[in-house]
Amino acid sequence: MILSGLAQRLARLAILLLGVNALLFVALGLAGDPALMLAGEDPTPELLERIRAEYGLDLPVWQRYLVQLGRMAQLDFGVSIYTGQPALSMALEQLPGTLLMAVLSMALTLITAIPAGVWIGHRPEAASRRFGAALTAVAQGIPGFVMALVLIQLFVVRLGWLPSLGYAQPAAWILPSISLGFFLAPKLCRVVSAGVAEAMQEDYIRTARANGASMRFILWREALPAALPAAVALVGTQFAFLVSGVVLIETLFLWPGIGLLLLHSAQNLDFPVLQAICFVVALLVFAVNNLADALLRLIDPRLRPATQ
Amino acid sequence: MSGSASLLRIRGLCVDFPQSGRILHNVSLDAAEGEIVGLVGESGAGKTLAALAILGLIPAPGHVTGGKVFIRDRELTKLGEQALRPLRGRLAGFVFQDPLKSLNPVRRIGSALVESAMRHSGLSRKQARERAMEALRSVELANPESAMRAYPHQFSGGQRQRIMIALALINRPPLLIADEPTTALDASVQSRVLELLKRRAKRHTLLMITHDLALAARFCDRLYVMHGGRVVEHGPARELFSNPRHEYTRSLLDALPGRRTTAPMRSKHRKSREALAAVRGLTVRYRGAAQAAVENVDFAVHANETVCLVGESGSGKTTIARALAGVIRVDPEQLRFPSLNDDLPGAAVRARHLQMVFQDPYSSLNPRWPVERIVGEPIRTHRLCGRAEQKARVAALLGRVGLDPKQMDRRPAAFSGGQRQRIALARALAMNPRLLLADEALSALDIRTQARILALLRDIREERRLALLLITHDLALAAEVGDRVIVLRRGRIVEQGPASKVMNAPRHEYTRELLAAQARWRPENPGREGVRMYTPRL
Repeated sequence: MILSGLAQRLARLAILLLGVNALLFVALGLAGDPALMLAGEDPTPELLERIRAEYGLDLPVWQRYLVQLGRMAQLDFGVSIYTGQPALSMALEQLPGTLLMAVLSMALTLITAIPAGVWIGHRPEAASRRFGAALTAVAQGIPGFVMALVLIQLFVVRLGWLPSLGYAQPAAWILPSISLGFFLAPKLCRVVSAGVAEAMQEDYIRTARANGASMRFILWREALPAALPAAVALVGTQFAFLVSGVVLIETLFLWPGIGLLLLHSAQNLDFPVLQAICFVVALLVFAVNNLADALLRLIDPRLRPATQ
Repeated sequence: MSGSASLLRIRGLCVDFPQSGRILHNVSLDAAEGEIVGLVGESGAGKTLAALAILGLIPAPGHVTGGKVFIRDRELTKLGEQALRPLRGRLAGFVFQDPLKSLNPVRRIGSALVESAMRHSGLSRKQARERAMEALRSVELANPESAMRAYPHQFSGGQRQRIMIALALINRPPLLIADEPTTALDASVQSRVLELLKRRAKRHTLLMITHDLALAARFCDRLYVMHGGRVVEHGPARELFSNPRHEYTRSLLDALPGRRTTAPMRSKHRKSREALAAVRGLTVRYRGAAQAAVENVDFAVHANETVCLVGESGSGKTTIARALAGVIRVDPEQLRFPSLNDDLPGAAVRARHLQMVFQDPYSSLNPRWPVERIVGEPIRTHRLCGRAEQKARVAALLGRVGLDPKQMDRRPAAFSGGQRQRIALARALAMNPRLLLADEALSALDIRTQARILALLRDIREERRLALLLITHDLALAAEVGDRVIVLRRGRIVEQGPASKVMNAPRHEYTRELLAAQARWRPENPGREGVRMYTPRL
């Protein structure tokens, strides 16, 4: 049972990677000719020929596809057209920076959105909670990169309290984490508050009250656990979108991470690096989705396969 | 209250809701130590609210506006939320109606019990665990050790209600309040849970809320009858049954199955020979299920007769209904409609001649549609007539089921449960069916409403010479209205025959078990459990 489940997941991963690879191959084929980028200004036809031969760009499309597919199977994405370094290791080198930001902003999201959601969900009809709910709705409407620009303008340019670039010092971690958090926190807050509000109407809350549970206990131990499955599902499905947020935020803060590398590689039509980055991101998204699934089963016993 | 000390005293309790005004009027109630007190009445009578008010558990916009509540001479109504909270579960424990909804699905049984024990008694986690195990043992739950680690959905309904009782008793309150504790359970499980409650009640005072008078009569020492937020009558259970003083109490007793003053359900018309629906060797197996939901079932339904399919949940009765209605595809050899137009394809036969009324009148009508559209829907779908005539037909149908045709532009929310079931009936009759299938169509209704709808069904059946297939878990009801009764268990027929025969001389062990479990009051058996019924004025 467990083994076949694992096999199923691996099969899904293989299909996902194949799909990402194929899509990217087509998209990059449409994007332009990397040989032109490499050759510099006013290339001679002979130079272009030589470059194309060197990178295998002169082969027929289907052959090129199969060749790079075969290489990908061996985790060989080739070398960067630009720097000459192995593409995969370039992508992996940038991973820690991105993960740092992701973990920070996720932590920030959880410690703000969940309590706020519980607070609103407790008595959604109260005036103060309605104001809070309206605020999250507005926050949800502000794109994360707009928020980032506002924050930079305020804290870096005007007040000069915080550095805006790089991640050498922890003070520079603050703004990017907050900005990235804006991609998910308002949504999460709304899902949690809706879940808690719904759970508060359930009969088992009455049971808890009749047993003398305090409101705090009821909110955090009875209602929140019932709201968590929806929250975890949201985080799982939104993670892929968060990656697109990472690209924007890293660009704005010049944060050395995978997003910034992605941007540069796309500008330079650095195919091998783009393929490697997409491979890493796809793996990451897949891992997070599966983690969310596993977490869901842990939280909601009804999703576990029946035993006995 | 004969001499023994008073435990619970309610005096002149009033509860108001801002939107709807006063809901409870001047309710007074006493319960002595060790007594079993019943609070009976129909839904909406205020029984649950009165019980919740004891420990200040009235849901939010409502509040107590007058009166006092004492437990052991301690006045609870003057305590605030902070002072009341530690008393909840300690002075009184609650058992609610639906144990599946009343237990948090994502929390382990053990954690609910242990937290509850630690909250009040200042026990250590280890001691609380001991206490929880003891509580589970005291409600006779098998294997308490593994039950502690399990979640509510892993138990059956009866086991869950035992767990609820354990939870209510874990802090050893003197008062146990049970709000319709067995209504959501099957008959055979019901009696076991009731016996358990009775055994537990020896050490506690029990306040039992129920709409089931027969049960209250057998179970309680004294009864309070509530109607429209007021206590209309109270007294020892025997006295209330033998000599009811209030008009309302009488009307409740008269509506009991077996003594309804409505004429019998049997048809005056000659029974027809030919079957409307003939079921031969019907077998339904759901995909992935180890056992067939229905196996090798044979029966027939004729015009002018009422056939009752009786069984507990999981017995396959709804599966049979679904097969008849064509929701599940079955082998056409297993299900035939011989006397109907056989040249029509199966689906068309059904649409024309077979209509259903469902259990829950609240969820089976589209809340956004006006009644005219609901009742007129089959007429429109099958293009039976033009628009103008449609309205006239709907009006006639509504009039026939006892509703005011002028109300046809109102939506279901404006009607009570019984009225909604009348609307559903009108919709079913719109097609002028030959066979009417009622799937627990009376179970969600109060006893008096039930009697009225039954009378209506009988009249309509006589008038239109319908065949009526009634699906129910209620054996007493089946005996009262059925010409023939079919008893189902685990997808198989265990017994079928004329109603009187099945009820009075059941051949199968299971039927006897069901009969004993329901133990409804029956007119030919007065004085059962020492309760003598009054004779209704005719």
